[in-house]
Amino acid sequence: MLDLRLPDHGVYCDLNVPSDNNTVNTKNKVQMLISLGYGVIALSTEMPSTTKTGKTKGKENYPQPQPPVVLDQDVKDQLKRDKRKVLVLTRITIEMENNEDAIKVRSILLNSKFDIVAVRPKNDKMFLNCKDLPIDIICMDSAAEKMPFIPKPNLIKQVVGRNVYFEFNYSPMIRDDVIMQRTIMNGLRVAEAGKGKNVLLSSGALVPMEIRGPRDVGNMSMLMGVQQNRAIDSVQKNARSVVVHAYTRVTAKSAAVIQYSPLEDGKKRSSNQDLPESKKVKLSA
Amino acid sequence: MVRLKHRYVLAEVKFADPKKFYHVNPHRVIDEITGIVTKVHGISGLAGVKIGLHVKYLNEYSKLVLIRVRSQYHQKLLSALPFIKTMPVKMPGVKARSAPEGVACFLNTICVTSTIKDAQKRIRTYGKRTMDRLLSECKTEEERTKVCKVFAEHSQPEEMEVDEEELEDEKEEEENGK
Repeated sequence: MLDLRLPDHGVYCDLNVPSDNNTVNTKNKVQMLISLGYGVIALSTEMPSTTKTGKTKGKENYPQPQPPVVLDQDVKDQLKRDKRKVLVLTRITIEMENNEDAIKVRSILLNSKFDIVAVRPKNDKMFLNCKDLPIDIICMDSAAEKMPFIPKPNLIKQVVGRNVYFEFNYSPMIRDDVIMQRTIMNGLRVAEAGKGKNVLLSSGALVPMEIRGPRDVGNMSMLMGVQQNRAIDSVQKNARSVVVHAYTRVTAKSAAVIQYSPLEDGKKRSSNQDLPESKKVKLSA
Repeated sequence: MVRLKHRYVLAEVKFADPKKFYHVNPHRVIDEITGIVTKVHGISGLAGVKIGLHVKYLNEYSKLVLIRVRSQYHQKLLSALPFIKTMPVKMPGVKARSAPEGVACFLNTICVTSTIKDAQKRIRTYGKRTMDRLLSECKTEEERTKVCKVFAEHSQPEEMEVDEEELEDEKEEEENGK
């Protein structure tokens, strides 16, 4: 019927697959995700904050989305036989430390070259700033450094009411023990304040062997205090609402869908060329 | 009379190269699981998981593993399984008495059931799906007959050791279903 770029209910999503210039690596990662059963994949590019890169002038220095991934012929035939569709989206994660970063975020939101916009705040101030912006994901994952700030439960509740989700990455947990302890600590804090309904888990995988199946990822969210019946939501339901939120941000305030309804007699409709000249629809050039 | 309840976890072992063959030993699988559960849940978590821990079925060709756990502790096992990184595995063509090497792999859980019969159903449907996929890739009839032969020889999910408690479990489940 309608060919919207939205996934169905019950489709597993992985919303953070870092993609660089290395196209072979990203292709292997995407093929591993497809073989495990995922249906929505988002390839992400990073944008560091101005304290590291220095002040930059002009919008031309903003990162561009990577070119689309070309899969092998075997995988395409397999998808055709199973009648499965795979959505590949683009995403950007922006680190926020100064007020200049907030200006960058607003300009990127207006630009709309990326499908999903995510933010990684490093201060209490920046967290208050990004509370009002129409952002899709708040990334609570400073993997290499100590967690710089602790969000308060009141603020988390206000953010959760707007359907913005907190995201954690699970492949740094597999690599290192200290990072595992920190992410589980932060996850417990966030899940406490939102009754376990606002947690999103995604992979920050650098290598294809760091990716796990969808049910395993759902079971990992049980370590963060989520109940077992709601554990799979961190991959299914919450991720789908993020994709829908990103889609509605790009479209206009209201949308109209035009669709041909079948004629009562069952006859075929005549096209514009078959009609006589007086009745043809004339479009201005 | 207190009835003991179990949970059966069906998982697939995925290596980096899906076409190579490795010899997987059930004792090595249990060693790996105990190591991971101590790392994630500590010594007290390991004690609960280790009571009823047993590998019921392992197929080296289809790489399916069926693990049994007591039902009170199955959440601890499930939340610790994704952290497995390597598995000590014997390479084919190596002498019998040499130590096994660690190969990069991970476990992908397929389902969690309460009886062995449900797990056997899932194994059969999984086997059919892989057989259909391999047959559709074959181009000549010789390859197709070869594939059917190999599957007939190496897939026997009914040869599992079933205890008396598990037989009672299945009888009670059937009565409750009716």
